[in-house]
Amino acid sequence: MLQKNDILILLPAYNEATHLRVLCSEIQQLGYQNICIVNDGSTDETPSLVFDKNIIMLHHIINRGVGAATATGLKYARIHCYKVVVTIDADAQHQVADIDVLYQKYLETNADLIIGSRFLKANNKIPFFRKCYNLIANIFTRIFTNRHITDTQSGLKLFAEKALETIQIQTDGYEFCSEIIIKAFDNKLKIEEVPVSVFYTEYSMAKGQGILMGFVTVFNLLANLLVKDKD
Amino acid sequence: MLLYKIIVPIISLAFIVYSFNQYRLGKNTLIETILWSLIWVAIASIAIFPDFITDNLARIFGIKSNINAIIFLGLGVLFFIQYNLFVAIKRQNKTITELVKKIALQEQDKKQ
Repeated sequence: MLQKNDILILLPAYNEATHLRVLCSEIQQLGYQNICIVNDGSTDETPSLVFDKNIIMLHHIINRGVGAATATGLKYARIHCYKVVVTIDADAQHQVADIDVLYQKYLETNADLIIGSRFLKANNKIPFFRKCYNLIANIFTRIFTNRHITDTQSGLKLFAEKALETIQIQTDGYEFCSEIIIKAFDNKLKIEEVPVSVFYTEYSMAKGQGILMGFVTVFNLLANLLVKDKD
Repeated sequence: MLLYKIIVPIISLAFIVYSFNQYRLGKNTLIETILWSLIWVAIASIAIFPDFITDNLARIFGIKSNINAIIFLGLGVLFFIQYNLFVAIKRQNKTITELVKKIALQEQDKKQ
């Protein structure tokens, strides 16, 4: 059976020095010792934070976006033969205990991709603009998958072995969330959703997505799908 | 003779010379140089023979007015250039991201 220590917790981080230490400590207290932080070209104290040996920090020399940071972390996981990776936002909007919810769901269902949905939990207070952003992204993702996912833009996700192998993230920005779901669908992966808590603070709101970003995200994803690169 | 019939061909000629100079310095490919030169030759030709060229363009494309024909054609060329720029920037962005990812993983390998 998969143990908590076999799981890599991945934190893409851009200027998150204020939360990282507490977040990592909470994750380790929960029993997940292996953590990989991808510092995405932060300009605050994030690069100079010192952690214990179980916490790895990869450094992007310049900021490339949350999609690129996640892709780097997933590649690190593949190289080091992790079977399962859980990604979580580093701005402390998620409840760390919800990692266990994803882990339990994985043990129950053996799904390839598990998404922590903020919209499946009734008492989550999600700001209007965030709802709009998610609605735009959800509609767009549905066009490509013909499947309704309640929270396509959630940062809390579990990638099992098959998802790790098959999903290669190509986009750099927030559009990577929809890209993951579209690729999971294309590869016929088993996708599950679980309700998770979310807390929006002024800090996390300042960093996140609005309606305009929703359209930019859709445009970027569309551009990526339509203009294929020569690999 | 109208002033623009002199100025536009001179500007076009200057850009053609500039393009060939860029090619000579190895900053442009031959295809790019030829393409840009053709565009400037076309602009100069329209300036010198505006009615003859635009009337014929309108007739060839089946557009009533010669002004509309030149606007549509100009927009087409601009969109083509814009699309190429878009693709080029996208590829460059992807290359930069790949490089950043590789450096991040290599630096970690060195530490371990």
